[in-house]
Amino acid sequence: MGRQTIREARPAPARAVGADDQVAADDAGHAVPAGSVRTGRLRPTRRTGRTGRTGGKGRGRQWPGAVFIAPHMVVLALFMVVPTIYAIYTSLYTSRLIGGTRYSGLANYRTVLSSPEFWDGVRRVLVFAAVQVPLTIAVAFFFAAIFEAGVVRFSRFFRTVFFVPFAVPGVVAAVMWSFLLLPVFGPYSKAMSWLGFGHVDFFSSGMILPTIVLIVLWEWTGYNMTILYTSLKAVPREITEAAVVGGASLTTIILRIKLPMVRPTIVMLLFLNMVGALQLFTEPSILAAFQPQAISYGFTPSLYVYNTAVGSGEYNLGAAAAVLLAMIIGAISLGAFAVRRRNGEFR
Amino acid sequence: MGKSRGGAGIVGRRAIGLAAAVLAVVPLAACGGSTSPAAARGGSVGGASGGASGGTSGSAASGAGCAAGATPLTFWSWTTGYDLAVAEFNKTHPDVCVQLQNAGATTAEYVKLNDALKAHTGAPDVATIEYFELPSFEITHSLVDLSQYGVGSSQQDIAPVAWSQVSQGSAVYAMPVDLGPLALYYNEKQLTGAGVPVPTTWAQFADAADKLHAADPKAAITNFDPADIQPVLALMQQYNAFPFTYSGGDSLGVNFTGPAQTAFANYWQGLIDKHEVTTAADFSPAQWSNLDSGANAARLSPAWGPVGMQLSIKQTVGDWRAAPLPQLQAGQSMSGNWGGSSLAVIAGSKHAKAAAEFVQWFGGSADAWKILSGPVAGAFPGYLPLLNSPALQDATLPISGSSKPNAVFATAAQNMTAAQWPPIMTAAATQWTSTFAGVTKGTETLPRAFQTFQQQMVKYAKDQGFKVTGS
Repeated sequence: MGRQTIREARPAPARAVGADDQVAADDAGHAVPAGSVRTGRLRPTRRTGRTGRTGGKGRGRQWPGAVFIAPHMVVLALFMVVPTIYAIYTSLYTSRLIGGTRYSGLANYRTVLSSPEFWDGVRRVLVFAAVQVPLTIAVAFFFAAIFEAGVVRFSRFFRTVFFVPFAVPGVVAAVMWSFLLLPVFGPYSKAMSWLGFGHVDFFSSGMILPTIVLIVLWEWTGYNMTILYTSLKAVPREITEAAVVGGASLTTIILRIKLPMVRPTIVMLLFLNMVGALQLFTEPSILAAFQPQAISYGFTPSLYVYNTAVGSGEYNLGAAAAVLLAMIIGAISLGAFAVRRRNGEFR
Repeated sequence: MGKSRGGAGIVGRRAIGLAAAVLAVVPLAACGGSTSPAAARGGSVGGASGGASGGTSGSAASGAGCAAGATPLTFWSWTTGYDLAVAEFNKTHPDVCVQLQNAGATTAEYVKLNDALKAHTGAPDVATIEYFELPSFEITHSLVDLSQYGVGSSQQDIAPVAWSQVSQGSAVYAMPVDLGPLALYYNEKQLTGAGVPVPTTWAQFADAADKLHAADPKAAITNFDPADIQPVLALMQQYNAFPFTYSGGDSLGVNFTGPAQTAFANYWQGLIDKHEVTTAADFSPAQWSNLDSGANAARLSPAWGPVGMQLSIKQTVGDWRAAPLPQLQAGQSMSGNWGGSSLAVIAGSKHAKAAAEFVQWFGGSADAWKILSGPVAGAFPGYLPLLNSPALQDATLPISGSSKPNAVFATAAQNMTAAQWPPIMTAAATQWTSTFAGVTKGTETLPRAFQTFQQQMVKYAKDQGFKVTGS
């Protein structure tokens, strides 16, 4: 029922203007445009494109667009396409200390696919993602909703506070948390034992994954919250007003009306966060420098790539693992597009 | 963008604020980026961390306190106090200008060096390389044979155990600098004060551990970090259980599961199980705290250990004495080597002759050793005139009161055999930590970890094209 409402609400002209406003502000604020908002924007763009092509004289109007996207395409080519091709090329060879380099076909892929370390890492990031992604989005949605509903005083200040962790580079955040959570000597370990939880070792084999979830949650909640907040702002005021007149409680409005309306945004965030989680690297690699015993060689697939290529000098094997990881993430991204298309986006 | 903001005003303003914040940070970052190489060039030559960004061009020579037109050399090292020796060299050798850069300690540096060699750009002229890592670079022909520059003339001044690790036949691949002979460095009040005699065999060591632990359940005789490959291999060497055999070429022996190795693993696992040794990470706050609180009565310490240790302990300064490492059999006098490093000239260096002159001075001259063995660097010499001198052997350290620990370490230096390091130590060091981490946590035992590591190393060596022998 809620979904029906969204679909009907979307084409409303009054809202379309508001939505574009949001996107503009959002872009400047360095956030990805929210899903619900993006639809309103994509459609007119496409239409222009189509008329351009059929109209013939549209050619003159196309070059500014090309100029604007050129820097992105150059960077994309230099830092994505070229390295990917190089990685694929490298992965087909094998360099040995004795015997030099020779073509080895798919042997490196077979080695990686049969490596328990690699699959352990893949399993670990999937478990990690299954916990971290929904948790982050749930917490982000909770705060976005209460800030947007205006039930918190000084909400503008708090929104900034929540966003600040995202402005802290991941490396710095990980170093900071490594100190804060230090077993025995860290303030949190001391606090835990003072509170009667006994000796809590945040870097033990059982706790290391929850610890990383905590760090990543801290880093990314504000980012997700900002996008969800923007998206919630785009929910037409008259719908909320109608609900209030109809006697709906705040909880009902948030969970039954607003949540379904920002669902496309949540779906998008789910996949963005998922892709991020699968590439988990910074936090564990920094923790490994502080607590070498807590993080294994192939703790995450990215670490496996790094440690085989750089740590053990098996560059070809690392390249094959990187290509496999890219394929897994690519498959998930394609899945995301399929889901979002079915949900009615990108029409 | 020209549209009126309307209801989005708040967000808009915030966005502007954020953009302003970002803009404010960018110039700062840019500053940071541009100052560090400048500081490295103009200021003190040493201590420039992140030195990889420093230029290797000749212009660097002018600012580093040396003459214009001097031959520029880049030198990667991480050891404290080396900057002082470099400054002395530059002062006394105006025709050469050495620029010290810290590319990270030990494995971090080797990884960077490997990458630079693979990329054929960015490698230094000279790099600190520990003895265990030399064969890995020798096999890829990455080191300049220094015998062609007459460095061989230093052989008579260098401890044989060090010289044999840098040379293959007539080739000399590096100039030895320091050594890390092991000794039993014990807290006199803690050990003999508890009525436990200083152990001379490993069997007595285990008895001493029993006694200490029985008297105080919190006490452990020493710390044994299973996840740190270097001290474990040094102890295995002393225990006559060194797992590798290699003498150049494509045959490599790997043996972590032979009788001697298994006995070694069982010995330490027994002490770990009884909580008679702690398993804190080496050089961690926990380890220092154990040494200072009396939880650890002894440290199986390399010769370079005490200088650093006295920076990290406070309560027990003056109580520490050195004794020879316990032996497998009574009457033996074997020691193992932990660390110790050499200076190698990297293949591709445009100034190999000047570099050879520099490394020979660094490891083999009284001038250099006056600084290297001083209180800042605290390196333990492989340089015989100093190693055998009363100046070194009679020296005292605050941490050891009026005792003379160097005499014990110097004797240990004479009682080491050169280890046959395999050319796969980078990979071994990378994989070791994750294989042995479980021993620290108690989810794995040392003998089982040895078996796993055996399989890993055999597989890796075979993948690298070696003929692998051994169990």
